[in-house]
Amino acid sequence: MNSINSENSVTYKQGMSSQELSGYFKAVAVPIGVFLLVVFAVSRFGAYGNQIIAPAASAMWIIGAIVAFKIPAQRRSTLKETMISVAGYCAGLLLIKWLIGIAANTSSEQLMASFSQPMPAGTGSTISGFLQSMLWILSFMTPITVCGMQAKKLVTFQKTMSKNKVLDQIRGIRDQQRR
Amino acid sequence: MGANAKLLLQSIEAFHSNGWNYLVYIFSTNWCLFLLILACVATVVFGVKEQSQAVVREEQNIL
Repeated sequence: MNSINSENSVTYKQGMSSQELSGYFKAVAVPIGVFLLVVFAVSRFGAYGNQIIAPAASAMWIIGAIVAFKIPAQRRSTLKETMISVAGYCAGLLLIKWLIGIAANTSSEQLMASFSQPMPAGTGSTISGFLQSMLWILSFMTPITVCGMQAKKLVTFQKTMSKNKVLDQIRGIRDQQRR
Repeated sequence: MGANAKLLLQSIEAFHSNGWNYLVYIFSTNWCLFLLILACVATVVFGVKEQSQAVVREEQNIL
């Protein structure tokens, strides 16, 4: 509490608490951190990042921002979902890229040694191919799912709003008839 | 200033100049990243607004 002395009166004003300060810090730092993660992922992936990851991440984030703007009651949860989705998307793709890098240097003989059992001769390239398929599936399915989920949220909200509007109108007509 | 320190400073300058030019290049060749900046700014504004709406300040006047 800070006290301010003015003419014949003292005003006690509550200052900013550390919890409040950390809330403001999170509100600013988390989106900036996610943005930097997206830029990092886009730059690490080269042309794939420019042509697929950047539009997909932008679409997810912009739809999340539109839904947060349109539905103020669910703003906090929508922003949280969007941040987690975009950050998880980029982190997942970077993880798979790293795994592809590891699998690329692995021969079937090395895999046989590590699992201590016979393996097919083409196992090394199979793992790499599987990871690449996973990368493609993840890079398309995640944005489609997230955008679909946000669009559904918006449509459901608008339907509920129009239903409430119609019900309010009917109530209004009834009230007028009673008078 | 020693030759090593000068070389170090030149390397740091080149590193930052290179990084900045790369950022300018990727932002100028990909319009999606501008959408990303827009969405990021909107998210920060909404987040700060939400936070400010969640706080109630108490003021007491004592005469």
